[in-house]
Amino acid sequence: MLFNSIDFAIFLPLVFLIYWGIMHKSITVQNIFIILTSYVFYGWWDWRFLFLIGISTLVDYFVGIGLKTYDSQKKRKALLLLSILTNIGILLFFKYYNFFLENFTNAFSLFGKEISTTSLQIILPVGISFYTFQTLSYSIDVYKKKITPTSDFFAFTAFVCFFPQLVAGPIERAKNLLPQFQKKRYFEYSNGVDGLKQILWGLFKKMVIADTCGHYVDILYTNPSDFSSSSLLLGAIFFSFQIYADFSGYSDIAIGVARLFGFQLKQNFATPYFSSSVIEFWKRWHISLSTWFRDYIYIPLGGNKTSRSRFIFNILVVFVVSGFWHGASWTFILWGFLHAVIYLITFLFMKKKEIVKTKHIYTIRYVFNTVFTFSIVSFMWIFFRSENLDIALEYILNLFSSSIFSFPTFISKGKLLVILLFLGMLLFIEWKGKNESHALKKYMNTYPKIMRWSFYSLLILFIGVFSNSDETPFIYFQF
Amino acid sequence: MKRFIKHITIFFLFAIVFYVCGICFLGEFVPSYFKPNVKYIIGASGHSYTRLQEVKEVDSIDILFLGNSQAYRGFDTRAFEKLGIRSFNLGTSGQTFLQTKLILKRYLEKIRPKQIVFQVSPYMFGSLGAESSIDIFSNDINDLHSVEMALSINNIQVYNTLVYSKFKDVIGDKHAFIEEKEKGNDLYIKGGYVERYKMTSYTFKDLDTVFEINKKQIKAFKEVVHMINDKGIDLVFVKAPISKDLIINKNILIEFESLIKSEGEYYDFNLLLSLNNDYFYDSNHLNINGVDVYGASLIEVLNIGEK
Repeated sequence: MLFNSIDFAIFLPLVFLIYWGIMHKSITVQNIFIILTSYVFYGWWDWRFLFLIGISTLVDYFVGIGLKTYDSQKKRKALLLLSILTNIGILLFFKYYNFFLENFTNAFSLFGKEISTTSLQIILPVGISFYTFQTLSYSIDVYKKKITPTSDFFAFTAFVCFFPQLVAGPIERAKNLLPQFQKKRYFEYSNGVDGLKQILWGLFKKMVIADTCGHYVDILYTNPSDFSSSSLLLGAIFFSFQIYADFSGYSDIAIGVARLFGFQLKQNFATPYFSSSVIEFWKRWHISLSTWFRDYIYIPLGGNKTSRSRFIFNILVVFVVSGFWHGASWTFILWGFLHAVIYLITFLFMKKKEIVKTKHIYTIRYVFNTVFTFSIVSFMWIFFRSENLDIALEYILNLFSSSIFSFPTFISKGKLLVILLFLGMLLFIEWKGKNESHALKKYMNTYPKIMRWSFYSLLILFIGVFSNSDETPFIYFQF
Repeated sequence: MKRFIKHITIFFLFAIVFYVCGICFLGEFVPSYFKPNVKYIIGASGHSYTRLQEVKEVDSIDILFLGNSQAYRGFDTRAFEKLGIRSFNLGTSGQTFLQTKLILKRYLEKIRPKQIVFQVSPYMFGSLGAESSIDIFSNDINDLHSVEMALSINNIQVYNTLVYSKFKDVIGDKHAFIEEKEKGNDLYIKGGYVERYKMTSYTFKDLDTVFEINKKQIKAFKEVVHMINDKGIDLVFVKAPISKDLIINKNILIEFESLIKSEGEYYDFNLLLSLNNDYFYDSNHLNINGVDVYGASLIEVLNIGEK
């Protein structure tokens, strides 16, 4: 079920009313209800893959129990290995099987040996990269004795399949989310209102900005050589906003929905395009994934408390794995690798003060750095968005020519004006709310109710007038 | 919790009023690129406005033609008039069974035809006809049947256009509209037929189309047939000739024909006539020479001359 669908618009209020109206007397009953609704939510897309969530849940639940029971290091390691093999195994098979097979065959053909292989028609189950990482982190944390494993099966199952964040995150840690399933939830008016505001802002970002930009991005990336440099430049900028509005919009909706049910999820985006360096960008973009890689790959590899060469290696590994996590394609791997290179250059040459500072003084230098960072990030997105390396190369080669000074040909002036106005509105409101957990948290709070309600209604009107007639899936569903 | 639900309810009522006012404001005052989902198309190609005005004056006829543009561009009512047959062409652009249902609910009682010639094509099962609904909303007065159709189609453009069209009904703008009889290469002929009187060049190429048959359309199709049968009206399905360059997926064609044949008499004029591209102005539509041949053949098939 998509957040931006009529189905969900009916599903959410219905589930909300039953949850607080009928199921509120017992935590266990509420958890069972969450499990059922989450399975319905996921099964709406394809019920055949529900068993994968079930396997992940069962394995990690019993691994947790086992890790609590056994003191023997050998047995504990074996249990952890079981969890890793199960989760990564599911991920490898469903997401990467054909990629490895194809590259394996190609590698052999380089040496003049043709081998016959059969690729499988594998459907990628939605959200597989998210929930496998979430359950895996539970087993690792229990193994490292950072958290106590739960014996409450329903709480654990609800933690794994909680529908707001099941298919595209934020990737939650057991330390934050699991205890919330083990204590009584109370409905708070302010939480409910704030949750709805965040949902509305997320829907606006997805349905108005991301989908409008996406329409043109699709045209440009199909055949880049048919367009002028100025068109491709605008296309690269549009994609930067599309992916941000799409994914952060999803996260806003997920967090907002969770709040309606009395849960606090992690912030996943913190206005990343206002970053003044690539390092800062990675602290603000897809935070739940970045911190996952930091905690479970980067730090175990030694982090930066090691030799310079080892540190460089660690950064390269984390970014390449991060790229590969996004999809089984060389474009994602190259995207990750290039980000690692830029990250390292920034890290090695920037002053430490500049890297770690969290509050900016808004000078011309800050503006320049921010625009420069946005340009680099936008350039990197070309690899991320392209179907393959040939298209990416074609896009980049055509990006630099004298036609950069011509008017873009793929869009009329009127439509361009509309998009620019929306992007301006996005940047303005996000800038105003950059220190809050979401953009609308305090936006217009001091204004009279009629003004605030008119503003929210205006957002609804924009959604109705500018959204696609067909429900467009979120980009990160494919990961 | 009660306070929350109360406030949300009040807010939604406020938002609905704001939304309706917003749609009307955008519809009236801003250019089309500022309102992509409000598609008010009064007087658009196909002369729906004139036809839907004229149908209000029609009473007790011999033949009613239904269908999409292949109907209003394919059945020349003058050919039937020459034989003393009173007919009216109520085809509309992109008409699917959902739109046919609305049209019949609105006008069948008044028109009281003896026979309905229903031009059908597989495409009518393929989509929900959002564009066609927008065409009807914009060119006719809207009622509860319009709301019922909008709910079946469930498309934001359709909802928005219905809201704005209703506003236009209320302020009386539609009555004041005057549609030219001659537009571009088209000439509206009294009785609902649109003649493409100028020949235009069109490059014919292989057009292979694949789509899925929509369950809502099957349901609407059966309801339409039921409605016609209930009134004791003779119903004939016809499939207009199309260019041989337009290829429709075989499986879709088989499913389509089995659906149609299960509900009545059916004639595929692609089998009865063998027309080359000289008789078409594009892959889907006959030119005036094609219309003459098609009309004569239809008169023969329906035994009108003998009657």
